[in-house]
Amino acid sequence: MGKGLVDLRSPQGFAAETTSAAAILASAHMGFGLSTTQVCSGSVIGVGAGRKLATVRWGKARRMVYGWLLTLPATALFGAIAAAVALTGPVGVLIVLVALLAGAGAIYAISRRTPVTHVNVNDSPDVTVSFGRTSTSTTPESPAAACAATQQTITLSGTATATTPVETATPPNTGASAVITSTGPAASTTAPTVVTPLTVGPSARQVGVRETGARTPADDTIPGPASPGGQQ
Amino acid sequence: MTINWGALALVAMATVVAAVSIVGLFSLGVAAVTAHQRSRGGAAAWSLTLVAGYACIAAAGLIAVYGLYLMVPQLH
Repeated sequence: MGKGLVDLRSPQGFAAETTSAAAILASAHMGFGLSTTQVCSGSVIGVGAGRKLATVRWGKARRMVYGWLLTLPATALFGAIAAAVALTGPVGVLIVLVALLAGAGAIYAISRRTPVTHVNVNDSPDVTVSFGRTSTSTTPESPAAACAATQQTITLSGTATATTPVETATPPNTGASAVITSTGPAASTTAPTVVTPLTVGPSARQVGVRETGARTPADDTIPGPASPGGQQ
Repeated sequence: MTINWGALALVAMATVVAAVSIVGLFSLGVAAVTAHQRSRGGAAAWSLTLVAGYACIAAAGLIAVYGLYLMVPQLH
């Protein structure tokens, strides 16, 4: 309900659960019981509709309402049939029992086609179920996929920033004459521009620490090229 | 079949009042405590914001306890 019907976050879940508890306890105290499922569904839908970007899947909510409307006459019909058969005698009771077991077994067998386990219980409905009218505009990805994507971008940025400082660090060591043409403040401005992207990821930060450690002798050589510049 | 409309209206009103007050007070308390922690940088120092935040959370808890008191007939 918190993922398939509405995209719930913790504050909305808190509000929905509080509302459901208040409604259920108050109605039970006044002497009439409400359906827990209906109360929770209503509060969850209301909480989702109250958000600024409403992510209530109204198609699914409508299907739930249809299911509730269909449940009452369907169960009445099957109850009447079962009672009529069972009242004919012990053979009728046996027939009802066999039919009940067969129906339950069939439902269980159908449910085993796509079993819900601890692996896929939190999957996004856009991944597992493909309806026609599910909107993939807001949060179609599962949290695990989003986390993996951010980790991938972090590692990519880390390698990118790890390669570039090495390339920028090598010219002061190899080509000394090229550095000598640039003045001292220019070299000092390139140093922060190299260091600042290194605070992106943890791996890049380690590279940055080693890079700053390797740059301090490079900074020591920056006054050094001034003296080779004097030699030229 | 008679429907006790008065009880239905009472339940609806109690639900709205309880949910709005509890959720609102608790959210206010969480916001106040968060504002205190952000302003002090996580330092353990008391301020009026922190006291008000904890008071809001305690008030929300008291409302819930009062609801339980109303429901349990042995308490009154």
